[in-house]
Amino acid sequence: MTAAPYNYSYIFKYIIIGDMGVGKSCLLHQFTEKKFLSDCPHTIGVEFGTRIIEVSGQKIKLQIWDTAGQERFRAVTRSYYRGAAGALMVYDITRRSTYNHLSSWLTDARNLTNPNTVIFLIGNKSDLEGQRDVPYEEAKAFADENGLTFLECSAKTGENVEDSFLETARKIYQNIMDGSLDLNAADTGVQPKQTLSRNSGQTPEKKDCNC
Amino acid sequence: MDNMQESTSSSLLSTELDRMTVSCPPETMAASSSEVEDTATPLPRPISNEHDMSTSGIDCVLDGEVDPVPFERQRPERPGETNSRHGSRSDSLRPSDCSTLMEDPLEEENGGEPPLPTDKFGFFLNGNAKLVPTPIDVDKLRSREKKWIAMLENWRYYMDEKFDTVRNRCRKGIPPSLRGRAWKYLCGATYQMEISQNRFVFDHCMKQPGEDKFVEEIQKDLNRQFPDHEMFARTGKYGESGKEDLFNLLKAWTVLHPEEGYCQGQAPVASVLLMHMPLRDAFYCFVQICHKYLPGYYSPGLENLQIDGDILNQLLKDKSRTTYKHFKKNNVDPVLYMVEWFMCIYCRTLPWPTVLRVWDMFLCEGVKILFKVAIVLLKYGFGTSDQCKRYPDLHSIVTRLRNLPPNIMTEEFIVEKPSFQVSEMSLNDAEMEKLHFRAMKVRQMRFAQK
Repeated sequence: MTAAPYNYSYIFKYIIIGDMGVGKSCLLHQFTEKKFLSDCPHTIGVEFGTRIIEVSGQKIKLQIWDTAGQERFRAVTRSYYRGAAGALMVYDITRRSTYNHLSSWLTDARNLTNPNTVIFLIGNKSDLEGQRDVPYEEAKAFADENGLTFLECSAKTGENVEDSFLETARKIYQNIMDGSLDLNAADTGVQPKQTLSRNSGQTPEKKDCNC
Repeated sequence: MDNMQESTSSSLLSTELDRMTVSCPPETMAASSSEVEDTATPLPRPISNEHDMSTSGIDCVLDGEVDPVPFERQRPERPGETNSRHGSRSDSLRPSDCSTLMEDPLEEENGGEPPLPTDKFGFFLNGNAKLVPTPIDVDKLRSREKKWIAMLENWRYYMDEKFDTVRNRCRKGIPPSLRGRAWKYLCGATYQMEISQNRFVFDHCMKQPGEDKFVEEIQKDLNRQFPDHEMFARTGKYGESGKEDLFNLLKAWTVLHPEEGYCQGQAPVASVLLMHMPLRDAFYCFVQICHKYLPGYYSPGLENLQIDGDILNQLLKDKSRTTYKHFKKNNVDPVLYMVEWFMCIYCRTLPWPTVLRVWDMFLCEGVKILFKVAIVLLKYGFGTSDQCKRYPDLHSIVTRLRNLPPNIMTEEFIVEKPSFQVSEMSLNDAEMEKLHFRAMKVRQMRFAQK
């Protein structure tokens, strides 16, 4: 169970937010397992996923927090935003109400993360073109207006799922490279390798730790 | 005693949220002898059907209020009772030690489809898993069943005079054949559904359509509850009727409490109840759980759940300092792991045999069981400095909390080992009260600061 060897340069924390039933957990599952899980149990509280990806030759470990979407869970999910480097904001292209709620999700995402957090808008269920309730152009305009990157995805077919997660990481990485994201600041959601604890994996020494 | 009964009887409709930490509302002796044959014939089917309503004689339904009509029948009809399908059982392909649940598939509708093999709890066996019959000490089981039957027949006496006996027997595990019935008694549902004026509430709530908003939310979750259980699966004989019951139960709740509505944490709890009893019984148990055991857990804001998270943190400090310090150092807030544990009464966390044992104790002793289980999991999941070192940061900790080692989640470990039973883990009510008070104060102060 010990953590894998540290063959990656950074850890990025992501958070996935959006209304209930838009497919947040399915997106996560598709991204980490490359499988579509129909009847995916709804999330109560928060679920976690991990995957190592590569951006510009650098290995990056994504730690993804998948949150409960039902309105009343926001009371607890708000505490999960802290220190997220990326926020994937998801709506369902077949249900307009989930799109209409985006501004309130966006408010949370802006208020509860840091200014450098990359917010990515995902219109999920693009495989259900016949039931579309939100035109692509409209969502695109909303995204542009708010400075978000936007893609329509399908957790079912896997279309664009990979790209959304990777594109978010690229943006974060770019922010690090051009210096707009200060790695020394608190709660950036980015951990460079050198600050990672080196203890794990070694034989435990009896030490001061009285815990 | 009469006063107490009156107060419990009105509580279904009132919003009074008196939390129960020790035991349950007193049952009445009236709910006794006529009950004997009622043990386990849950035939999950909705009784929304007009025909059933009229034959059952409880269609004297009310608009908005509890019917003052005196209770005429010996006891109310249960779903399925008036249904002639009882004659046509076919439990042929079920595991022989299947001790739970339904008897009666809707044969005529689902004809030739051979049922998938399930374990004795009704969960499909995945892939190459073979059904391994657990050895049962039949004599012991029979003797326990007899004791339980005797106890259920003198329920009030046992609750008033011999509560320790009831508690100890719940801790040993309720015999599967009596579990559903025992749960109903323990939580006070039997009283509510048979004696109190609330016995009409279910029929009333069933007849209302429910608010669109809630109906939509509930429907979205129907396919997501235990999809590997035969009662809630997409395929198989029982899936549809199970989901229909689940829908009706949750919808009826939202009719009873439109101000609270539906919380996603409620569906798993309702599902577990439906696995053990018919819809109407499950509804009353569910209402008791939401009113008496976990008030405010599912309400918008989840306030009481968060308070209990704070209490858990305090308890952790006393009971497992190592874990507490490690979590504090890494900012592992209780809401990162306890929301699902507590809201679902562990039914999505522990292996099934353990879930049932925990529920047996929970329905007898109340919410403190949730804390005890949490402490055991945390203490043995992160109790040593070696374990702490292996999970050195927030993300590795929360990931491990989702994948705790199976050996600390077995019923032997959680329920039967000294770890759980003995004084080390004792939580008395006074202590709980104190912690609750402190947690409330802290929250108020934090709120005031904001």
